[in-house]
Amino acid sequence: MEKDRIRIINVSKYFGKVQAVKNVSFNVKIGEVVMVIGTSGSGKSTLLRCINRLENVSSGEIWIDNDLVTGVKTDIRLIREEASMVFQSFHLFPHLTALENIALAPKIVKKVPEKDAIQKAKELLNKVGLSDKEDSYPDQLSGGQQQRVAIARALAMNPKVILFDEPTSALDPEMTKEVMDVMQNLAKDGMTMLIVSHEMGFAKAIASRVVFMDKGEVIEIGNPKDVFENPKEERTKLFLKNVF
Amino acid sequence: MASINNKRIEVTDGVLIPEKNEKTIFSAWRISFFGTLILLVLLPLLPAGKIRLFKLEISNLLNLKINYREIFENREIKIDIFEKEILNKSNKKDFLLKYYTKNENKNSYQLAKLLPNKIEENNFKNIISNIKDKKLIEVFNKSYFYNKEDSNYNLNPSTDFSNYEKIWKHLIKEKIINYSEIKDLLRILYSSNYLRNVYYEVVLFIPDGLLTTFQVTILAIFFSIIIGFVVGFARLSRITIINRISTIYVEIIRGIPLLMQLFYIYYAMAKFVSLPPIVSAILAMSVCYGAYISEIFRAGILSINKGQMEAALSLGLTRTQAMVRIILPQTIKVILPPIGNEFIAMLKDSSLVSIIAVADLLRRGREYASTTFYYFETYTYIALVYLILTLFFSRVIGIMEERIHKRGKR
Repeated sequence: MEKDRIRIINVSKYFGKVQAVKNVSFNVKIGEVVMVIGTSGSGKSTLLRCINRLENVSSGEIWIDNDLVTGVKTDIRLIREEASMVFQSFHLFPHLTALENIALAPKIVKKVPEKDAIQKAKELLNKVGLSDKEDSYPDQLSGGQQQRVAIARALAMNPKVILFDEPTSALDPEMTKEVMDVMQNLAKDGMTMLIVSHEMGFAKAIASRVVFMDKGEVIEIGNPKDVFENPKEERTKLFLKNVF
Repeated sequence: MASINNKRIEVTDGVLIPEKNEKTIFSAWRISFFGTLILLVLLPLLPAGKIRLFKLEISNLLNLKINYREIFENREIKIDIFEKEILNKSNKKDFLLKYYTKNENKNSYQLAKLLPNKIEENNFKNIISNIKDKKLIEVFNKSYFYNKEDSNYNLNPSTDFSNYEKIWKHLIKEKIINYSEIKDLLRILYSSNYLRNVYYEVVLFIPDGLLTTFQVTILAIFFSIIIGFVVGFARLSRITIINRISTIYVEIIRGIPLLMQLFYIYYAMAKFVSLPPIVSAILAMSVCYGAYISEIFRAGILSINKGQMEAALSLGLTRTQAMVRIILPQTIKVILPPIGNEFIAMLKDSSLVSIIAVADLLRRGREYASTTFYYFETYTYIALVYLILTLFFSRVIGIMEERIHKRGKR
């Protein structure tokens, strides 16, 4: 049962001469919630974007189940259908209502009939606790509500993995909580999630494993308790000291 | 929403937009629009004044140097002296003014040019009843025919009296009337109430010009939006050659005045292919404004947050789908105001095409003014027509903008 959903093998990414990601390797199992922490500029977001092919890796391989994400011949769209992404600043489509935001991709990409797509979107909105906001436009929603719609939008494609790119760093604490609750429920449902975040408490609560990155390298991987309370590496200690 | 100095302001993407003044009946737009509208309606309805008549005579004297010599040979006016004096004077108008006041009676034949194209039935009968000479009545009757449709007397085109002076030339040459009779008639014309209202005549004169202006503007904006759309995308293209060609096009077109381009397409290109004036006009304006609109499109697409494209891609949409479903709908909102401004600019710039013989609004006005010499009245009225159009369209665009922003603004 311990099958790997995501396999990251020796991935490096250069921006010009700057190496943003250095030989990163780790796996994410099915149903696992893995949290990537680290200082800003440590390459965590870049790594996440590589998994969704929003960036191309410079070297190394990334696999999602049996699909080689980094393969030249791989259909990028197929990968993206399997791995949805939730962004720091939501990126909801401002000209569409909450419901339309969610139903759009299934309609266009999966050719789901209008009726079914809307029905599914309603269910998802209910799931994130926003069934009364169906016809609201993004600018009529609070940050937390927008992010929850964005999560529902990601779920609409029935992905195998959801990648969260600092999903709560644009939110105030109260809104952070409502978004984290939704994510916690997802975790309970057995969704595989890879989360880049600064929310340490959240990591303790739901993460099965924590990956600490610094300057593009993976410094330490372990369960949250071990990493936070007994970090082995000096750099991890320094980071945790600065954060708390 | 924040409150500064009791004025509500809206914060949109970090830009402070003062809320519009509370709607009052006397907003600046309303004052200008309805003021213009009232002038446009009122001016043609004003009663005609004699002062204008006098001005016209002066202008006509200037204009008709050659013709009156022919007409007044063997007449009591010493035409040679008159002409010599004119040629020697630096300020012809001043001279003529004085001359006219001195020799009012002798030159009053020029009033003949005031014969209108149309005379209302009642006025016509009034004139006829006041003329004693039977021959004159006969000619008058011949020159005009009764038009049942508008129950007016129209100047008869078949007698080739299309130009007013020709009537008098004819009348005098055929010795149908003599000078004293002319004077009689003129006195009647002078005192009768159909003295022209120039504004009214301008109104009758310009409709086809207005139509042409619309035609040029609307077709040009249509084609320039198509050109702008294509070129705007080409400029964003990653394919170097497409990018370079489109950029060079924009640079060239924006570096040359529109009037120059009009001349080039109409006159210079005639060496290879001669296009009708109106086609040249539309082509030149489309090509020119296409370059400007392509910049608006480009800026509009670039103004959309990169995250929108990424979000769409991460959901599995193709680039094209993301462009059509996500980026363009948002772009339209951003580019609508500047496109609206281009449309208004185009409406105004369409007046340039009058120079290459397209009978647009301005051209028709010029045609009228140059035959009647009522420059002030004609151009005032034409300016008002342009003004009302631009005021109207700027409002329409404003309303469209508001509507779009109400629905899911970003």
